[in-house]
Amino acid sequence: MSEKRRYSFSWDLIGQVDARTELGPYAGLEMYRLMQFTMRDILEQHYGTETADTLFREAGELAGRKFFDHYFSRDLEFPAFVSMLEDVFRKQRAGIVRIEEADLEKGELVLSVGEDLDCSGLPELEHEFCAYDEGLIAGILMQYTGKEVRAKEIDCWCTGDRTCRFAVTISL
Amino acid sequence: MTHSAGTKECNDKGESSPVSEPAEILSLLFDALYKGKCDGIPSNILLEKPEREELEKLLAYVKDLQTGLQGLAKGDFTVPSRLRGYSGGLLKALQSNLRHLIWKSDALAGGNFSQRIDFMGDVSISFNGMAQRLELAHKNLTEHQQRLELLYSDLQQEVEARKKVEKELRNLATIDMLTGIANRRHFLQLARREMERMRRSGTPAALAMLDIDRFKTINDV
Ligand SMILES: [Zn+2]
Repeated sequence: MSEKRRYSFSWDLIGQVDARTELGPYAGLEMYRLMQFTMRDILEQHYGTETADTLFREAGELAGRKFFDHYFSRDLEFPAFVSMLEDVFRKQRAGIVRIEEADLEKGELVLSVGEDLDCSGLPELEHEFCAYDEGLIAGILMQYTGKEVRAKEIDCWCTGDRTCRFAVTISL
Repeated sequence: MTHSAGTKECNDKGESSPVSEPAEILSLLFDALYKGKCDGIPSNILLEKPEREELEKLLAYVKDLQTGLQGLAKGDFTVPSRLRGYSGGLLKALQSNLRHLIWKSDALAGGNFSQRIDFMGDVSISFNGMAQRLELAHKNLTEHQQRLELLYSDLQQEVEARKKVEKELRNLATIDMLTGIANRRHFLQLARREMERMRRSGTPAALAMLDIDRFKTINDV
């Protein structure tokens, strides 16, 4: 991009989350989804479904990397990292993370996110929905492992599964 | 189940074709759910194409659910991925919990005692209780081991110190402090031993004497 960037993300942009003395640091799920899904709508109108998904996934990935840098460190042993990830996701009301399988030597991982921020309670659709989450999970694990990571949602609330499940591949 | 008497209905072309009674279809569904019999629609059930397709779909769903439940009963927690919908979702949630529990148990077995779980009611209470007790036992053991290691190192230092003192005492008893050579007592011991050896073996021995002039001046310092 040749022109000067205006919106390059840094964690500082999130600002002081304890600044709201009356309302506190949490917002309603409706407002979060309203923002996310209208953004997705407009992106799809401008660029088509596939590109909209790609943009969402990429944004999720950026978020995942920044999120990792803010909360975690690469020195953590994997089980300790997972425990911390569970805690932070729960505290941020982002979802209930559960690792189901992890073979880091093979670069394979399956995890589920219950009560997912993006899709829990949504009406049933014909397709998996959580492209942003795919990116987010990939970004977090990318930063932890220092390798290329791909996350694919294999079950989603939106396909009637009540929980979102992601298959992760880490390129060795 | 009785054989279908069949009611006559008309298809698109106005031709009539036999269709089974709803009771027969309900009975088939009950058998599928209650007895696990869901291998397709038996030949005595007669249906129009769309209804047949819907029923086939329903039976396949029940079968998938039962396969998943059967897996669970046998301890196989792999998820039949095509299983969707509310009931499938509940089954998948249970499988997901169990798989996560296995992962947590493996982490615990691998020595990561900080693992806790927060689902499946009593299971989480007993898992967390076990993890907590293991963590405490591990902490106590580590402390105990550290104390033992400390005691061992103290003991080693003590042994070293004693060895040093013993050596010094031995030197004091046998060596002349001024010259660092054997003292009179040690010399007599050695001479006696040598003379006995001469007597036993009949072989000779030599004794050399050295006299240092004016050694007294050094001796007197
Ligand atoms: Zn989802």
